Amino acid sequence: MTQSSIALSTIALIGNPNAGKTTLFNALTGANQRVGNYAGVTVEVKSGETYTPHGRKIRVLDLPGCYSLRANSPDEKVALDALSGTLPGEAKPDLVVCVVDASNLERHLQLTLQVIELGLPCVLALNMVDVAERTGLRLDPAKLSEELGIPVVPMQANAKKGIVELKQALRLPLPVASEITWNSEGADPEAARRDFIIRLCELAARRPDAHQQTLSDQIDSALLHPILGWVFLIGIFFTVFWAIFSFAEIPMGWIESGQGALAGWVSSLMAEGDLRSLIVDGVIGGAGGVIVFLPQIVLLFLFIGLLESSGYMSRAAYLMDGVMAKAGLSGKSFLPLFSSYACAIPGVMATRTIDSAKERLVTIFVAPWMSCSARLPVYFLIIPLLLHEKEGTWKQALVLFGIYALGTLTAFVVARLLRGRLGEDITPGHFLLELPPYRKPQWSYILRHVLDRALAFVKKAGTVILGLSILLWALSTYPKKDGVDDAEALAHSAMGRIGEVIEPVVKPLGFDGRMGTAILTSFAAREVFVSSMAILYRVDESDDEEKNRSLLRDQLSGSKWPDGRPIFTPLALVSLLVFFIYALQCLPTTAVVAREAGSWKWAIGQFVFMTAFAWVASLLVFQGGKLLGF
Amino acid sequence: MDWQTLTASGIVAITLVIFIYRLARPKKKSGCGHGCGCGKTKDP
Amino acid sequence: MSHALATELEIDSAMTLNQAKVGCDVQIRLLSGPACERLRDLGFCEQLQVRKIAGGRNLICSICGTRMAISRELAEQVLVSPLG
Repeated sequence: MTQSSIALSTIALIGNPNAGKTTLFNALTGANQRVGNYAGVTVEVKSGETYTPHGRKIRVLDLPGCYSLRANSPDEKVALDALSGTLPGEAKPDLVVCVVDASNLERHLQLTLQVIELGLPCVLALNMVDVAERTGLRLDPAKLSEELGIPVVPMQANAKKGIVELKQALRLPLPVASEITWNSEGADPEAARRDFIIRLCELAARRPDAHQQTLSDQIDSALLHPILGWVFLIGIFFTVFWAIFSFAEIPMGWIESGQGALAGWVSSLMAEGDLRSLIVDGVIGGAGGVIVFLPQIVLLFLFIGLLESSGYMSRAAYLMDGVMAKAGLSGKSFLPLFSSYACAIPGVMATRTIDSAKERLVTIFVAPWMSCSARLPVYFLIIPLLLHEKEGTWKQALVLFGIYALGTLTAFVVARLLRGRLGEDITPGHFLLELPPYRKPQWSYILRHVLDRALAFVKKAGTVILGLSILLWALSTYPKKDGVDDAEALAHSAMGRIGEVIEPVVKPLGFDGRMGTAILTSFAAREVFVSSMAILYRVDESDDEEKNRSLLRDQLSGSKWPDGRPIFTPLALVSLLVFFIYALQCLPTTAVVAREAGSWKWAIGQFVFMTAFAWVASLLVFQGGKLLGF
Repeated sequence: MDWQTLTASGIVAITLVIFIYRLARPKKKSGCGHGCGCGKTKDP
Repeated sequence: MSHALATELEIDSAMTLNQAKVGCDVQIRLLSGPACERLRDLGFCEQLQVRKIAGGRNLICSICGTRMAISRELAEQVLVSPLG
């Protein structure tokens, strides 16, 4: 038999969440995937390829982590489908590698037995043997293999130990499906498996004192303390916000001066004219004005990665469960909603671990109100204007925290109302969460992930936002009118005309036509708001263009209504902030919501509702504020 | 029209065409679509 | 018959995981309730030992070396008895 006549084998990786399945997948296929130290982070089926020591190519599927094949949640259903060959586009795998945590055989072997019962050939990957050994567990892989009837490979996937041995087990001919020795008379399969596992563990995985207090437990006595735990929770998250603000200042300063220098250099290259204006105002000012927020984005994702990797996230979810219940949700909604603070798209996708269908829909619906990172450029533009920079970063952090709190609180209230309207679940779900041991953050994964997001941000700036900035520049430059001053030329351009039309709609919110236009453009991508503002307000200074190009903020604070009143009063700024907190301005999110919720009606309903809500909220803030005398 | 206006208009026109092309062609991108960088892939 | 009676008596004197004292080790005697299967999948099986670490709205237990948090409603379905 030559190698070319052998069809490509497919093996599937299955196992409990946190068993190290994805680590093994990465080690086998060399792909860079995200690993979360929190049950349910990997929810998709990934595929990759690997080679045996003989050079034979094998296809590897990474199935979602699950506790059993009973199909209680969407994760488990996908896994069961994949193993049964009913997943669209996938035949039954040729072999299943059951990844188990050697320290947790009593719990993880359930799944393995269920896979064997499906009649599929199996190999047991006994992972994390290092941890098991450290806790004094006595493992006997040979005995395990003998009793189960399948090959058992001890390994430590994160140190790449045992990978070669695993690949050896995958050589042809593949192992055959094992016989089921634990359930012969057709008695209750659950009980039969259970008894078998308990006997097996006594033989092959002897455990000394199972409940020693570990270091993790000691840490948890503080972090999960009913009162102290909350102090830590709020403290940690507030610190994260503060750190993002202050640490990012220096690199932001570099980027800003770099921008200014570049603009100055380009201006010196050519005479005044449209191309120069396009490059300096449109490209550098517009797209560049968004790049300056890269340091904040990087820091945000860095901290989220740290919290997840160290294991703290589960504790946060545990503490938050009580609070979530007030919103009609559970602690399981915590990770999706928290992820939405970075970007609602992975957040919405993470809702697949939520058992209750109705809770899932509600979580998806309110997720966009967890202010995502795309809003940060807008917030960081407006907040210093509100406070005048010299007041120090802690006040700015406080305002930012207040913004997040407002979005979150509203989301909870709406979630509660919506949950009530949707009614009870057919089968009630229950809170259930594994608290993995604390561990040192896996820096390589975190940094890789942060790099991915940073590159994605820059790519988005370099493509979509750059393109939009160019178009916006054109709209605000053409049609031209010669011989008039800058303000009139702008009013005459396409942008100016749109602004006139929009103005009556946004004036009650405290915005002028140009802000209305900028808001319209930000429905394409929120970051574009900053670019638009840079372009729309460039004509407001009477000074030498080069000097004032430096800071958009200076330009904005100097802007006035025709009657001389300043446009950007604190009240107007707050109204603008409120609008951005509530408006849903991201088409990719709407598309993902439609897919995850299963209908476009939900997605469109969400969009319409949130836009209307934003408008009304801004209205209330601005008009209410005026009545109160602000 | 001087050369600057000509070039600038050219760039704008190309940009517009690129945008329309991206909107019009059927989305074969998987998952979230654009550069939010979450790295998720479509299930097979 | 007497064996069955003895078992029943034993179960009657058992308490739920909620009622168990925090910090003590117990053995699972019986799972009864709608979510038994889910509990078993997670490792809460009969004859296994559990240490209750924290109580309240959601309990924290140590089972087979793993820390798990489960809700009150679930804990109500786990009948345990203290280890001698």
